[in-house]
Amino acid sequence: MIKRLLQIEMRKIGSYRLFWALLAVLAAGLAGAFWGVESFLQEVTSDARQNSPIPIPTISLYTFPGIWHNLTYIAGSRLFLLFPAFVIVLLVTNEFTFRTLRQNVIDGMSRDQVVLSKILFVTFLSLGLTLFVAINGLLLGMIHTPVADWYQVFNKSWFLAAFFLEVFGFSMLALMIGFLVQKSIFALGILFVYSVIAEPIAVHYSPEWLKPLLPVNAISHLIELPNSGLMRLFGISFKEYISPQDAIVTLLWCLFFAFLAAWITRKRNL
Amino acid sequence: MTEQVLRIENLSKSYGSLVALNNLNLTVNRGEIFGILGPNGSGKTTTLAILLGVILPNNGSFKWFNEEPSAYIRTKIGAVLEQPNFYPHLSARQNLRVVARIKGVDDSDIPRVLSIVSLEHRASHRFKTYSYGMKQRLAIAAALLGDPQVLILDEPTNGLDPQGIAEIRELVMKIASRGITIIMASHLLDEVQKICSHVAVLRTGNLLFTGRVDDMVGETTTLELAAPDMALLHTLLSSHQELDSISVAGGKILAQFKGTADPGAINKFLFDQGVTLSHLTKRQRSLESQFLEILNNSENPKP
Ligand SMILES: Nc1ncnc2c1ncn2[C@@H]1O[C@H](COP(=O)(O)OP(=O)(O)O)[C@@H](O)[C@H]1O
Ligand SMILES: [Mg+2]
Repeated sequence: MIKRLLQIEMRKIGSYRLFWALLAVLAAGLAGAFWGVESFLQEVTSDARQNSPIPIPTISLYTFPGIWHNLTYIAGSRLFLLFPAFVIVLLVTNEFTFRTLRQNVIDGMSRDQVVLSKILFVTFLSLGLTLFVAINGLLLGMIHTPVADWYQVFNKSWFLAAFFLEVFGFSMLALMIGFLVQKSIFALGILFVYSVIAEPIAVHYSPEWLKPLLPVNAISHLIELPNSGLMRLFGISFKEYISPQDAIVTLLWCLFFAFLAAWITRKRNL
Repeated sequence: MTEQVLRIENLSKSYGSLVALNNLNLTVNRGEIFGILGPNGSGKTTTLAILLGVILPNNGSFKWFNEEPSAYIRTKIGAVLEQPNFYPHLSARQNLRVVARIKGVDDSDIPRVLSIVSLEHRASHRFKTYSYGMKQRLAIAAALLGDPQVLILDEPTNGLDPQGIAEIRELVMKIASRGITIIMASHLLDEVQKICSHVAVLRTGNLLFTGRVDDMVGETTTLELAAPDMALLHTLLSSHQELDSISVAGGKILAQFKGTADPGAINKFLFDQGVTLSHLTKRQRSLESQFLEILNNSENPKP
């Protein structure tokens, strides 16, 4: 059944130009950021090095295994996460705009299958993006790491899993909003306002214990800013691991989003 | 024994205080061309939408092929509800591939349904470039994927120009001639009369009549006649050009005329031939007049 549902979704994409265009822009943006960010950082750090009494070690962003942390941090920034999420909002709300969700049910999908097929597509899209980051990471890492054994290459590759979870979690939020709101403009607006403005403000004013439990906050804390030589200089240190708590909170939110979308779809007239 | 395709029991649906469908009971048997006839807002689409799983009823139940409704059962039914719903950015063929996958039908069936509706030559064009008539035909093609036993059409000629209407009607009759059971909603008496074998008449969610179309409206007029010279009367009537059939019952002649024969004209025709009638009545068709009244009221709303 999973194969059938995923095939249905792939056929719906077909030659949908807007979808492929959005994906191409995202891929270009990510590749540009990956391949261009070091030269930028090198300049900043070399400036700092000249004026610094203490020697700052030159650490490339692109050496194994640190590259996984660095790349997934860049790819997991809010700007890049919004992209696949917007794509999902569009694909979900299109089904309401064109009344194709109704037709899908008439043609023989159950309401649960309609929601499940979209969740499968979110999974597929998240995996695809993760693979894209992985390939870029392998290429960049192999170019920039002098000698690397397999252990070194894959040591921190679980950051890729965390990245997958970030994309998946954020896109599931988008999916839920899409099913709830139905209208693309409203859904896009709500997703943007909630994740970029409303929740950050809420986080600011909420008590400490609540902060890690809010969805967007939990998702974006999965991968924290990597420590660089520059930061060490300032004595700042971020966590270099993925906390199980963030992962669990994210997964629980995903479950909630999925059930909310399924519940509302079961209940209403299409 | 006739095979039941659909059985509806006590089906009701309200939108707030508005009763869209009130305790509907209906059966459709295999091979029937079943019309659901009623003016706009009488609950036709609501009924079909419930049968197709997109609207949830408040009450009642229905069975397809004697089975409880399910998504799987719906893959065995072809349906066009209201307007054609497709992905505008996909071509006709790509859209049909989506439907085929949902219905579990092999893609090799796509050329067949495209040729039934004569859209082969436009199959690779995007749906959004289609005229309304072509969209409607594509919807029928999608409904025919997998050669379903039942086809549901909701006002298939709505919004089409006369040529489009003629095309769709011809298409429906062609499909019907292959033995598929068809359930078709329409607000046009004329359309149901032309196409359907059976009919259910709805008004504001209430079932007024269900049965054979012939029993509701005849395209003939039946006159009951008697005269002193019954043999001459019989001969003269038999020679009348518009006569359809003639029979004798209870000392009277039942003569069926094609179209809406005027009793006065018939009387004059007989009188000119030297027959003076002792009895002449026109058989009443109450449902026909009732329905025409309903239609007239809904089509020409009084200010
Ligand atoms: N979603 C809805 N919300 C409220 N009322 C509705 C809705 N859909 C249909 N109705 C009402 O239900 C009645 C039956 O509508 P419908 O089944 O579409 O009629 P038909 O198809 O015979 O024209 C109408 O009075 C219509 O206004
Ligand atoms: Mg209708």
